[in-house]
Amino acid sequence: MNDNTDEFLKPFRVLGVDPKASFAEIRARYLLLLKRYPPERDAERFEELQSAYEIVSDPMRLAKRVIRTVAASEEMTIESLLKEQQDNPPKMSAKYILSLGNATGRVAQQPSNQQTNELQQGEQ
Amino acid sequence: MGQKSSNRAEKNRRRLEKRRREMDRSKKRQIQDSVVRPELRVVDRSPVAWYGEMLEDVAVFDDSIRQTLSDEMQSQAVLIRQALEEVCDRIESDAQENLASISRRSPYADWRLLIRGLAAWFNGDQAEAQSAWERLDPSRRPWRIAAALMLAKREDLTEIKLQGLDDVKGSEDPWVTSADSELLATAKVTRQVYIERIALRAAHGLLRITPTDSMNHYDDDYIDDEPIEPEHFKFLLEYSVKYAPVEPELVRALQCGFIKLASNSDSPDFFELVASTLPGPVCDPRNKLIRFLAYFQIDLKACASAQREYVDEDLLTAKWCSDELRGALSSMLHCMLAAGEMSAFNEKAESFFERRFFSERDRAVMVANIKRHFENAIKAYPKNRDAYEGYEALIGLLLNFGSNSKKKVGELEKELAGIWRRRLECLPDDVEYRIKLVEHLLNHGDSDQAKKHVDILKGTRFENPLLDCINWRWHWLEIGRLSEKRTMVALAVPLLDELEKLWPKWLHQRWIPYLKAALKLRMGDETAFENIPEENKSKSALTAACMQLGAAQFLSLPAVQLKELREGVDVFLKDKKAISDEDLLSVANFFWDLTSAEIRYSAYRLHAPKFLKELNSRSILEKRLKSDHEHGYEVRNALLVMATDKIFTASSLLRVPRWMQQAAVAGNTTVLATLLLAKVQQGWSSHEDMERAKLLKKEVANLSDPFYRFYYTRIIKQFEEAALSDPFSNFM
Repeated sequence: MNDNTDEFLKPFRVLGVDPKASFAEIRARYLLLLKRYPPERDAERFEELQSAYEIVSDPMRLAKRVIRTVAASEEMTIESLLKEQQDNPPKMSAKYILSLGNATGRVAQQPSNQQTNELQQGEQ
Repeated sequence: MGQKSSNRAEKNRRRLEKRRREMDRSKKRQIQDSVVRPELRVVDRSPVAWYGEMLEDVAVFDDSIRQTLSDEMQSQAVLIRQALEEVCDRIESDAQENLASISRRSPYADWRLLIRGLAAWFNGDQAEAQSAWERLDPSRRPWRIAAALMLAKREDLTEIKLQGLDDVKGSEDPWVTSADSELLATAKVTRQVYIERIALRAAHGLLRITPTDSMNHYDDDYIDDEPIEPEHFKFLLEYSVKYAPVEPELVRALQCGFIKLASNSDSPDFFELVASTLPGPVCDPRNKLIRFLAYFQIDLKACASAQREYVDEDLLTAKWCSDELRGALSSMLHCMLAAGEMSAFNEKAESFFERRFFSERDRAVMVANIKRHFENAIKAYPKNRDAYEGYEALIGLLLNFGSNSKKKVGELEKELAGIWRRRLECLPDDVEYRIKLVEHLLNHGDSDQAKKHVDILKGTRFENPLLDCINWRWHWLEIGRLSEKRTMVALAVPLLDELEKLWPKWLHQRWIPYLKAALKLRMGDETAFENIPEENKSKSALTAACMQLGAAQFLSLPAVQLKELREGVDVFLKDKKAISDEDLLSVANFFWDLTSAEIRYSAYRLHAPKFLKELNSRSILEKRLKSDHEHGYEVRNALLVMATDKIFTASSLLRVPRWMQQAAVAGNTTVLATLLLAKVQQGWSSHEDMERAKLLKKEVANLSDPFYRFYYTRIIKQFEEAALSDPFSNFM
């Protein structure tokens, strides 16, 4: 996923919560995921969840993460920037994935509601 | 000379001209390279139904069709769409789990398989994807999607011609044999964009731009590590327009990275141009925070203005964060400003030249500014530990600055206690600060306030035994305080009884009768020490003498009585050789009680080291250790107090008896701990000591006594810290 510009968002994505979510929402979500991924079932996932929760539930750690995301490092160069991107495969949108199934050769046509009704009548 | 320099200038001019021409050519090439073919503008692609396509399949992407389905099918279509979105976004949620509710007979069973395989495909597990997808129905959309993705992974995909499909019909790959020309074309585009990444390849054009910075014109050697320039910026803007539809996230990442690079550049104008043109990351969309960070190192005034702009305008209306994070960020920035000003304060205070012009008024203004920042930091986010610690550091700086009057010191200490108090209101679990506050309050006679904090600490379990007995400690200090005044000494009696009840398990009770007697003596009972019951008296006359003196000193007995008791100890000092081995071992154990509980009396240093040195010259410790004596703990206590009092150190060299060295080689835990403790006192370490530390670390885990487990671990930690700060140590 090509989200290295927003390192800040990563722990939220791990937990599947919105950055604006309240602490209670985050905790509820975390507890639910813990039930789903207990350490004996998936230790790696469990650790990932735990560390994400530790970050997300602590505004100071999160603030430091924001600063780290925004701040420039001295070692950064154009080359390193491009190299970093090499390791971040692009994200495919759901819309694009769905469009992969298009078949214009099969007389592609958006079935309108009218056509749908016709189809339904035909079936009946 | 003049001729030579004009030749050099001409040569440089020509070289520059050549470089410019090369750059123009390279620019043209880059732009040609980066022309995007329309079919690669994948982001605009939308799913389009074909005539006769299953309505359930169309319903996944077309709401108007979905509404015509039954309720059950509608809800399954929604589940599929949600799960698909989340798999694509790599978001963990319930949607994928909820797919389990779709039965195998449902028309959406194929979609379920598609999503399972898709998650594997994104994780690079093609085999897993293949096993999920091989059961798909080739006449439906999920199969076509799976086929396009599987084909996109084929490295020989470009060799498969659209017109030559017949050639590949014989292929063993079912995805190839069942593919039509449209599917192959889609797979090729997907491969080019998502696997081969044409957008990223084109971005490498940034590397081909030759630096033309005016500073570099006449010196080829002076090429900074890839400085970025307006030419790069122009390229990026052009590139962004072309490739944003192909790989929008890559373009965003490059833009954000470019802003960071610009913030490192020497030109603030260039940075401002870049920051005001390109959008920043989600957590700093208007680049206000990076502006603050860029100015932080170079100009505190510009930085303060950037901070106001960020905190008071940008952050206040930011929609990407919670209120708590908003507060924490604002607090952090205030702390950074305070730290910047503190560093400026330090520079002025430490510089011989600047100190002369650093007037008291200037100092007061600076300190007020720093305090204002810390106050704002605490106000913005009261749980910010850095703010309290920074504030504490400021007071520490002021306490050590110049010569403060007693009154001033008192004021500063009060301010410090106020900071700890405020910290504890918001961070009640910061035990260390509660203990600091207790000690401050007790030292300033505010016993009632101290008691409140002790009561809070009472319920807490600590690994450190000294913290775990905080209530005992409060009683101890309170008895000492009350006995200072004759009129209040009676109040200490019930406290001493309570102290006895709270006496820590790891601390010997041998001293209690003497403390009680000393209190009676303080209240006027002249025969108190003589009346100690025989069974409670120490068998060692030397230990008894030391315990009497210690108790009397702790309970503030008058000097006349103390003198008499001191003489009782001095008698033994005059003829140390006459003291028995048993007496020396016994007194060493009493000294260890005082040392381990940190309750040494003030006369301790006058006689204790002398008795311990005498013990070191005897062979009793060696004999007891070798014979594995039933009172082995006595040897341990004696050795530890001897190490603490640097008995094994002579002229800064460690002089350890041979028997101890042999015992250490044999892995004796007590001796290993003693040697390390001695090394901690000495402050340097050798390779041999590192090995001993490792050995002790292993042994500590097996110790059953929690006090010594903690104590030895602390010794190892102190040793490691000392070794790390030792420049000659090879400690890693």
